[in-house]
Order: sequence, then structure tokens, then C-alpha cells
Amino acid sequence: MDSDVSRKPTTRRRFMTASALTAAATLLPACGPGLSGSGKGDDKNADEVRLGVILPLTGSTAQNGNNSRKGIELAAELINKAGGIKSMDGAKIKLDVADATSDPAKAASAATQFLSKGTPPVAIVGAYASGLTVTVGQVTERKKVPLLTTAFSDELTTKGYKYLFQLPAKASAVGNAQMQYALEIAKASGTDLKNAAIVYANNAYGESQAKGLQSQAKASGINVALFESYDPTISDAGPVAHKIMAANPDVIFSVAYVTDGVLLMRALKSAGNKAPIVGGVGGYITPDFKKSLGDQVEGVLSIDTSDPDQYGDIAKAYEAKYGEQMPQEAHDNAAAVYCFAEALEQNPTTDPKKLAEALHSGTFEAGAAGSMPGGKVKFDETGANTFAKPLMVQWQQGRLVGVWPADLTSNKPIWNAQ
Amino acid sequence: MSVLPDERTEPTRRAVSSRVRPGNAALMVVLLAALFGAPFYLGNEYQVRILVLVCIFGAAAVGWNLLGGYANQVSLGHAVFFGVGAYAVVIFQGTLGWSPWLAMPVGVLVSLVAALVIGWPTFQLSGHYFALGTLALLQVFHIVARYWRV
Amino acid sequence: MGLLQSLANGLLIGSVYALIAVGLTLVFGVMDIVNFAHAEFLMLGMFGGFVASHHFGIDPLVAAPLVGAVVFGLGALLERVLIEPIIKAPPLAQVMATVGLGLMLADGAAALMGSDFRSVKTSYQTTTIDALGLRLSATYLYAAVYALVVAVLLALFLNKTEFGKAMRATAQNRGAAVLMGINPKRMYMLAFGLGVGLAALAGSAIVPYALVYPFVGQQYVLIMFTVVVLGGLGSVLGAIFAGLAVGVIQSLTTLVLPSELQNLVVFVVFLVVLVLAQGGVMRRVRPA
Repeated sequence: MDSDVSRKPTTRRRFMTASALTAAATLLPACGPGLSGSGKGDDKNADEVRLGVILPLTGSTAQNGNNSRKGIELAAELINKAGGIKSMDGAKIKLDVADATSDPAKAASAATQFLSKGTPPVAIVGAYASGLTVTVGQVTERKKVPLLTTAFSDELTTKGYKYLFQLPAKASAVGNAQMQYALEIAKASGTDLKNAAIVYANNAYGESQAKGLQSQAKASGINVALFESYDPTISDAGPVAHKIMAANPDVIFSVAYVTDGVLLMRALKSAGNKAPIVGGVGGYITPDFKKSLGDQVEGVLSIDTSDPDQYGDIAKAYEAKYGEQMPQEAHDNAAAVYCFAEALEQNPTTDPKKLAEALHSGTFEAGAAGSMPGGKVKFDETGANTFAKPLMVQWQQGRLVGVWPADLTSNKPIWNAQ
Repeated sequence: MSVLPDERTEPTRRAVSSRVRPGNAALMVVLLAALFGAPFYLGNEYQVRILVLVCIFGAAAVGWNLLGGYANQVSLGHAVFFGVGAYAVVIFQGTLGWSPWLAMPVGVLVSLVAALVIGWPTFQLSGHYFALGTLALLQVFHIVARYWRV
Repeated sequence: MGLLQSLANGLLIGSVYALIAVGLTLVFGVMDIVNFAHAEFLMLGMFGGFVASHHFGIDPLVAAPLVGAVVFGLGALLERVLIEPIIKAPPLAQVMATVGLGLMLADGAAALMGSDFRSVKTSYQTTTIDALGLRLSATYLYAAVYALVVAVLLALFLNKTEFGKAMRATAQNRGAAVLMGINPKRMYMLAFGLGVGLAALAGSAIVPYALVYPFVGQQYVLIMFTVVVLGGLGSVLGAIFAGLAVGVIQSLTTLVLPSELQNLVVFVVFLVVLVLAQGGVMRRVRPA
């Protein structure tokens, strides 16, 4: 005798009532103070300018997202302490932070929600990760709100967007440089590299940078013994590490965020790897990397979008406040805030459209913008930064320093010091 | 005495009576009108977005229910068809440049064909084994979709 | 590198799969329940190992038995509350209930611990052990040894202790077991608790090399079902051999295919076996 699954007769009325209540309950949160607020007038006398921040604060890229947020908060704090936007009567920058999570669809939802609540911010900084920025960018472009980003996927500046501003060099350029500089450094120390293994996360960031690595490998004549993508959320990097070992490379190029990068490094070492590893920004240049791997980071090279030795005062302020070396994502996002502030200084406005024009026409070198490569930031009509240039950094004695090329950096690289 | 799961006797289940009474039909019409008219009277894009998601997931769930509710077969791989439809539209509209109004019904057809192809071997299974089989298909689709570069 | 190395790696990872799957097959054997939430108990074990290491400084391998015991208790409790009512329910209800339980556990973990990805730091994480001309990763080796030891202990339990024999009796013939004075309800609690406790134990043992996050269970769910089905639902010995086999198949696959596709072959094999031999391979076998 089987027990009856339902105890009460389920009539249509009960069903309808239950559904209606459920629908009401789920829709209730969405019925917030809803309606879009007063029009986006041009108010030069506002005492604060709102800057939206959308970053992955939870999920697989949380560490990078939180580092970025720290950089943005510090920049806003320093600018406000120095008197705010002077051309707007000392208006202070007010940050509105939203969590993009590490899922592109949720990131777009967060951006939509952000921009639907009352008066939208004058600009938005985000979303660190290329995959997230692509979907957030669709929302901001439709709403005609400038998005300043440190994500470097190529597709962000090839879609004809007028409201997207990319501070670092493009992923393909970064990938090219990652390969080229590594080969040059090896050659300068007397090593000729013959076989390379390229492993990368299978998301927008990994794919676009890996393409750059591959094309430069072809141009430089080095054999790509392994070109493989992997899921950055895999729990176990053993299989990837074993595959790399089986290919027997002289050098390993990795494009990874913090968690998968750490896992891969550990798996490679415990599989007995001796080939040097060259990272591709992402996790390799963060203090979290060093925290998780300890001495294992010593000698690890990585390509980077800005030189940590040149971060200057803001780096000192960061280290004083947070007790760790200022990572690339914190600095570059801080630079975005400085560009935002300087554009407002040059063209006081609270109208996002006018700000976009100012961002396209101006050149920015205040604060952290001045410690980007080339000493300044200027966006062309596609939104790309014309002064952006990747450079190679290395972990030496527990600190990340710039090592190559000589005209952009001040330290010397040590090959095969891992 | 114990039996294999798919040999258990199922109690007759009638979750919802299928007779539609006029009062409830009117209510449904009103609710649907309210739902579909939302973009016109809701000023907030986020709320509209949520309602769109409601409709999308609702449609997918109704599809699942045809098999799960009426036929008592639990498909854990329903998302595969959601994905096939989505990918079809992206390929037809995005890569081939068709109009979305044309790409969407074609997407439905592609998903239908996929369902027929997948259904033929998997309907040899039932009960828990069907659930497991569809779960495996979901993972296979996931792997192939991530790996295959079109 | 090569075939032998790949084989060795496969056996190491396969032992872990075996340990994870053994619990699942045990639950099916004794209770006729396919527990779709089994992977989430693995995840709980991983978090247990993480917390032990991160917050208390205890090595996850050392903490594993304790983690397993805690989850055993949790499992027994959940069995009473959630599983007991659906034991005689049709498959739809069982699948829904266990899938729902899994979702609850995963989202609960996300709410409690955050959805960030975490890993632990241990002193032997980057150690290689050279044996027989092969390079074995220490973390894999320790987890595999753990799995082996637990498997032996389980076999002893099932064959030599009163409780173990009672469990096997319940699995063989419930009616006769009741007539022999065995309390089936208590057996169910024990079996379920033991099953998920084993998964949690395995979870803690793999924490040194695995990434921990609330939805990590999804990565292991199909592997564990593959092992259970290939080994014969209900057969502990079958699960052990099938676990090793799946590990080896997976490892050998990466020799020829990209590592992203390592599971593709396993799952296709699973589907083929499921469809072709349904009823044959899946016939309930007494827990050996």
C-alpha cells in the first residue's frame, strides 16, 4: 500500500490562489520605488557627482573585484579630500557600488537595476572581467551612460560603442606582448625557447588573450606544443597540469584569474614541473596570489597593463590603508576614477552624454592616470586608450616589479628564477 | 519485498482539474494582459526585465511539465533544449544576419529536431534511469557547447 | 610521461571517485533511494575540511574523519525528516525531493559561507613523490591512500560487525530482515548517514588540491552516478572497481583529447551503457 502523495484534494481554486500568491511574493521586491526619477538635467551646481561601480564582489573573480573596489574607493577618497571637483564648486564624488557577481547575465541585470533606480549615475566604472563587461556594456550603451573599464577584451572597442572607455591595452596586444617579451627576456639571458605551452581560461578574457599569444608565437617562430583552454571553475587542475607536462614545454604561458591560477601553479609544481611560467595579468599580479602560494611566486613573470614601480603616492596610500602592495586592478580602476574626475574638471556637467564627449576629447594625467604607461590616458573614438602599452613584471623578493622593456620599466628581469 | 524503482505502482495523480470555468478564464485573461502590457505602464526597466524572465522561465517550465507533470518522467536535462534554442537564434541572427522574428521560430524548430534525436534513445529509459540519462545529456551538451567554437 | 604515468594518475583520482560513489550505492542498496543530493554532501565535506584548515589550523586529511562523522549525524537527521516520507513514493517525488535537498544545501552553503572560491594552504601541496619512475602528486596520493583505507574499513564493517550485517540483510530482503528483528527505520538512518558521511570524508580528503565553493558538487555529480551505474546499483565492490575504471578512462582520454573534454568520453560511455544495458547492468546486486 503506497502512501498517497497528496493529502488534500488539489482543486483548481487552491492552485490558482497558490500561484497568485507566489507570483505576488516574487514580484514584490521588483516593485521598488520604481519610476525613473527627475530628468537628467545639466546641473552644474550639484554638491555631489554620482559614480556607479559594478564589480564582481562575489563568486569566482571576487578577489580581483574586491581589489578593484578598494582602488576605486581610495581614489574617490583622495580626490574628495583634495577638494573634490573644483570646477563644480568642490562637488564630491559619491560612489554607488553594485555586485555584478561572476555571472555575465546577472551582471547585466545588476547594471539594469542600477540604471533604473531614480537618477542614474553620471558614469560607471566596471566590471573588471571581460565577460561581465561585455554584457554590462550592452546596458550602459543603450542607456547612454559612459562605462570606464579595465577589462581588455578586444570586442569591447570593436562594436562601435560611443560610451565605452577602455584604459588598458587590448587583449590581443597584451597576449602578443606576453609572448614577445618572454622570448626577448629568455634570449637576453642566453636561452633559446623552442616549445611553448599556452593554457587559458575559456572565457572572454582568456580566449582573446590566448589568440594574441598564439599569433605572436607564430610570428616569432616558436612551436606551440599545447594550446588548451580549461574551465576556470574546475575544482581540480590536475588534468590540465598533467597535459602540460606531457607536452614537455620550455615555457608555460597561462591566462588565469586568482583561483584557477593558484590551483594550476600548485598542480604544476606537484606534478614536478620545471619550466618557467609566464602569467597573463588576471590572478598573477595580485597580492592574493602571493598570499596563497607564498614563496612559490618568487621569480614568476607576468605581463601587466601598468608598472607597479611607478604607481607613486597612491600606491603608498594603498599600502598604508590596506597593508599590501597595490595590485594592477586597484590601480587601473583608480586611474579610471581620476579620468572621470579630470574630465569633469575640464567640462563641468552632470549630463552623461556631455561627459562622454569630454572623455573622448580630453587627455588625462592627474593622479593614478598619470602612472599608467606613457604617463597619460587618452581615448580615441572607439574608446581605446591610445597610450596603453603592456609591460612585463616579475615577483622579486615578494614584491611585484616592472622588468621589461627597458624603456618602460626600471628593474632587471631574472630568467628561470622559479 | 523490494522492487526496482520503476516498477513501483504509481498512485493516480490528478494535480489540477482540466475543466476551465468561465470565472477563472476571465481572471487568467486579465493577468495575462497585465503581464504583457507591463512594458507600457511600468517605467522601470529592471522590473520589465524581471517580468520578461518570468515569462521565459514560465514557458520553459510549461514545456517541462508536459513530460514531468503529465507523463511522470523527470527530465533533468531540460536546459539542453533551452540552450539549443538560444544558440540557434544566436547563430541564425548573429552570425547569419537573419531577422530575429525569423530566427526565433527557426530556433524552435532546431530545438524540436534536437529533442526528437535525443528522445529516440533516451525514451528506452524510464524512472530514475531516464532522470540520470537526461542529466548526462545536460553535461554532455555543456561540455560540447563550451568547447565547440563556431 | 606517457601511458604509465597517465594510468597511475587515473588510479589515484579513481580511488577518490570510488570512495565518493560507494556511499551513493550503499544508500541505493539498502533504501532503494537514488540520492541526487549526494554531491552536495561531498561539498559539505569540502567546506568542513576548508573550515578545519582555515579557521582551526587542522590539516584537512586529519580533520576528515571528524567531518565525516558530523555529516553522518546530519545525514541521519535528514533521513528521518526528509527521506523517510518519500521512501515509498514514486520516482518523480523522490527525484524532486533529493534534487531539492541538493539545491537547498548548495544555496544554504552560499548564504552561509559566501559564493567565493576558496582553497587551503598545506605544506605538502606542491610536493612530488617519485616512485617507480613516476612522478605522483602528494595530494592525490594521500587522498587515494585515504580512500583505500576507508574502503577496507567499510568492507570490515559490512562483513564483520552486527550493524554491517544487519544493513546487508535489509538490502537483500527487507521483509525477511524485519522478521529477523532488524529495525528497518534505524537501518535507513544508519545507511543514509553512512553514505553521505563517506562522501563528506572524501570531500575533506581532496580539499588540499581541490577548489571549494558552494556549487562544486555539480562537477562531481555525474561522475559519481556513472561510477554507481557502471558498478551496478547497490554493489559496493562494483563501485570501487568502477570508480578506478572511470578515473583511468578519464586520465587516458586526456592523452588524446583536450583536457576540457575529459569527461565527454566518460559520459558518452555512461549513456551508451545506460541505454543498451538498462536492466542488465543495473540489476540490483547485493552489497559485497
